[in-house]
Amino acid sequence: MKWLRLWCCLPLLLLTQSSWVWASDPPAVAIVLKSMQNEFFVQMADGAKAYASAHPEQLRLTVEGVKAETDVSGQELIIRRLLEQKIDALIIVPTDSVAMLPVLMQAIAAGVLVINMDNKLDDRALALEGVNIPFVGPSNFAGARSVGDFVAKKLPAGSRVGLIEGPPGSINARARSDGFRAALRSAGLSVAGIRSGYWDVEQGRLAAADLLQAEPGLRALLCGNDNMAIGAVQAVAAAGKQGQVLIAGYDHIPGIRRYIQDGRVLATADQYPNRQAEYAIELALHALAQGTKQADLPGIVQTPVQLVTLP
Amino acid sequence: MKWMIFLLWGCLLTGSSWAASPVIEVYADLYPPFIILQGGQLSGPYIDAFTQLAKEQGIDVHYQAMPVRRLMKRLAVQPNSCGLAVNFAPGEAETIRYIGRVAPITLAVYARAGTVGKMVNLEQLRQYRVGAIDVAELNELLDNAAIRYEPLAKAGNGIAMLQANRFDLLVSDVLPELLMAKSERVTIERVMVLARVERWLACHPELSPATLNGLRKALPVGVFADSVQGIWSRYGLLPVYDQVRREWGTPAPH
Repeated sequence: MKWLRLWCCLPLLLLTQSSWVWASDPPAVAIVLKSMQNEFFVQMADGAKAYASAHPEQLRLTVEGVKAETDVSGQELIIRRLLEQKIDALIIVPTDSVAMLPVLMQAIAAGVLVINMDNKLDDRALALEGVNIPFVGPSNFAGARSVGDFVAKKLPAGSRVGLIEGPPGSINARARSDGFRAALRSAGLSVAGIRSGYWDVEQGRLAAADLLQAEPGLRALLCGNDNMAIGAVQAVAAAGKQGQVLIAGYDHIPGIRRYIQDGRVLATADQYPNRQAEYAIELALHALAQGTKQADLPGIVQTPVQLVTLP
Repeated sequence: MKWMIFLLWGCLLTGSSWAASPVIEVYADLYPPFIILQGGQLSGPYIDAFTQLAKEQGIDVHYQAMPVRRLMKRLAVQPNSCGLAVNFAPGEAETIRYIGRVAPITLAVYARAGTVGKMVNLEQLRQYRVGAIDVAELNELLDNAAIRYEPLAKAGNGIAMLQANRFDLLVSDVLPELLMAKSERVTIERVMVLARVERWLACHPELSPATLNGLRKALPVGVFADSVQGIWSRYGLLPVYDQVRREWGTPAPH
């Protein structure tokens, strides 16, 4: 695999101290993830659990998730239950960047420190609520731009490209589409159409099939995650266009690696979900140890993202 | 000798008051008639109103005119800086912070008068040459509908390009009715409203919490607070002020 360093994380000054001394029990930190059927979030959960195992004196960790990527009410239920159990910090990967805000406001009102990871909450909603919820995660725009640039170099100017994105309520879905757009524009290519594949293999397949039918001259499909890219591979094969339509994904999940190896998927981006989890936990522990108020937490803690292609 | 001591004391007092009042560097692109250049300085109701609202929160503002693309890149790396009246973009929101809404804008479709009839849906754009300002929310709308368009690097040039027949339709938030003299040879008319979105104050992610909170308090109704009504009146734009206050559900004081 060829690894291109794309985004160097900012110096995490806040996170230089990696051990804290607690007067009583270590704090209870809960992580609420999206779909546990998505390998990306399984890796994120594994990273968090590995951190907790290595630092048993530092925190009591709970990791939970929902089945479907867009299960807002499922996440709300989990959070309400966690609030009854008296947690100290909540790290949330929201299923929706706006709809999850009310329950997170309840958590803050209950004195729980809330940190946002991976999929950013919508700044517009945060501004209207007047609340500060720090974001720990990568620039999805930069990651998608690097994937888009790589694919665009393989295509002649004027080529038409389809985008398959995550749910419209997710900021990271739209940030990735914006990154793809920027790459296409700078290479003189154009967007033939966008469909939502809702982060899912089957929905991705349907979205890709629809785009292939609507635009017979389509030259590439840029997908907002690897699951949808796997669905796109199936749609392209079913249409008998293998090799004629380039495909790219995002996330570098274990399941995409064989597609990268055999060239059916040209590129993806690794966001190191395990490290995101570590950064978010350390931010929470540091803030709890220092008694930092929600309003005084840093706004953004940037984590790395790298383009992944065949050598 | 006494006067020197008083002078020194005065300087110290002035210095300490400067130190107490945070100063932020604010970048803004021209957006007539709301942000204009007068005598080489940024001016207009957005600028004057924001200056006053920030001052009410004890924040001083130093302005610098800057094209929007450069401005957005600068915000991500320049501590203690903000961009006034920028458009929301999901990709940018991961590296800078959108603090508060400044003003609403209408994304609309414009044509040379008499060349295109009234439109009712986005699909109708498909048969025309379209130029569009480079705003993420608009790009998303047009791409979702698979409409081909020429993105305009400089939004301010859109009307002139439309008048010069560079394209048939302009999708923009600029309000020709506020900019064009009645004697203009080629008049422009609005043929469809696409969407209503907002312009924002966006800042470097490490802006101090105290300054951030002050700025949020300054902008509950953007640059249309009660205390700045006189500024809008002075620029002859009171109807804009009244319309926004009605739209945001906080009718203007009388």
